[in-house]
Amino acid sequence: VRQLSRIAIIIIAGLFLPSCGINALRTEYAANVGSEGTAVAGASSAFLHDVETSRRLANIEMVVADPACGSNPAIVRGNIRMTQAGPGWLCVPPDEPREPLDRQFSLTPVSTQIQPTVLLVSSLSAYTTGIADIVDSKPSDPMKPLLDALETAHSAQGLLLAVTGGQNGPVPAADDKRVKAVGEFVSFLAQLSDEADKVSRIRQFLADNPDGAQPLIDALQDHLATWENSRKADDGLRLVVNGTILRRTIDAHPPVLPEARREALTSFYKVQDAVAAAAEIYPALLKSLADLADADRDLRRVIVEHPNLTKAERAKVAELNRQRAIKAMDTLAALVTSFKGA
Amino acid sequence: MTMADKAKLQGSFGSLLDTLNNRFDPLQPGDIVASWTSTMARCAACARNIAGWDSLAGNSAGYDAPIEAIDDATRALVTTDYGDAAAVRNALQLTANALSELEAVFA
Repeated sequence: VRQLSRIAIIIIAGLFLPSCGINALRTEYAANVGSEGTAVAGASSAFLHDVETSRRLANIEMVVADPACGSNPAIVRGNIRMTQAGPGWLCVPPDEPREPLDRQFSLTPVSTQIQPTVLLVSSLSAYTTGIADIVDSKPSDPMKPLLDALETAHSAQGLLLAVTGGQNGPVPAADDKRVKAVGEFVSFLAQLSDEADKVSRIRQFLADNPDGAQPLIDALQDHLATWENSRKADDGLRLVVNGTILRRTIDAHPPVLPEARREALTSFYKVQDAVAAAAEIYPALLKSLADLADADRDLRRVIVEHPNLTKAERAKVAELNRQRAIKAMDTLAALVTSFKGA
Repeated sequence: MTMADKAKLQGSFGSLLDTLNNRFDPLQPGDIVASWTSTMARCAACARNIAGWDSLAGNSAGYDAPIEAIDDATRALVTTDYGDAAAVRNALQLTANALSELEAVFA
């Protein structure tokens, strides 16, 4: 029993405990990169979908407002004819010459233009998923080899007892307290070993991707800023064209029915509310991107052999080490106790 | 001479768009609503020029003038007394000038 205790203490103290707290911090930070990456991918997809929707709604508003806007590219008037009743008040009809202030306006949907941005999101997602896959990988059951060996030994022991006519053999049952104690000890070591293995794989992954997420985040931020302005302008155009229809409805001669004015004003306020709601998505996306950049930076800072930890991190690692030392001692005590008098 | 960055240009243009969206009032006189609409269409044409934005350099001294003009126009749209139609028309004229500066960046 004394020899068993000595071996177990050497295994725990010498091989695993010194780095176990910091390894727990490392895998936690790697998990943060994975979860922030998932958040960014989801928010980016939702945002790009909104950009596409805004483009379509603005195009719809233009073409509905004036059939002269219904060819691509449309020619929008520099001087909009507010009092002209028929088609051609907002856009120049194809058979009419352009005036100097009239401008060409593309009605092309965003689908093809958005592909490079989608590719950037996918690349960033592949990076964060790669880290998350390492963190989420399941270790093999550490007790399986022991239980398999016990089962084989039991079969052999049963055969031997049948031949010799004996009653009890030396091989313990699977529910024996010694087997249970060994199992807990092995599981504890396996948990520490698994963490160390994950840290080693994360190190390799980061070495294979030396620049990390930051260049992709920078490129994505640039693309998203362009798309956000596109969305704002499309939403603004939709709002303003809708408001112009309202103005024309109010100014119509002879006056339109009150219900028509009610409908025009109600429609304007609805568009105004929708446009205000759409403006909330981009700031949330930028926040997600900043959180991912922070998580990636933190992981790269702590993954090195002797990381420069903050005061809070040092306290956290110390607490993790304390908790694990207690668990190690408890597991060891249970192991030693189970073998006493065996 | 400073070398303004593209992000600043994007940000200034974004603020102008926010202001045009937030300050638009269809109950203003018809000529102001019409002018606002053609200004917004011009902004949208600029914003839809994705290939143009993508091809802009990260930094350029050429961004200084449009950034200054856009910021001035935005300030004018924000501070204008919307009961004063002449002041609103003036703010829209400043915006039109700023958009000419911005369009020149893509030329």
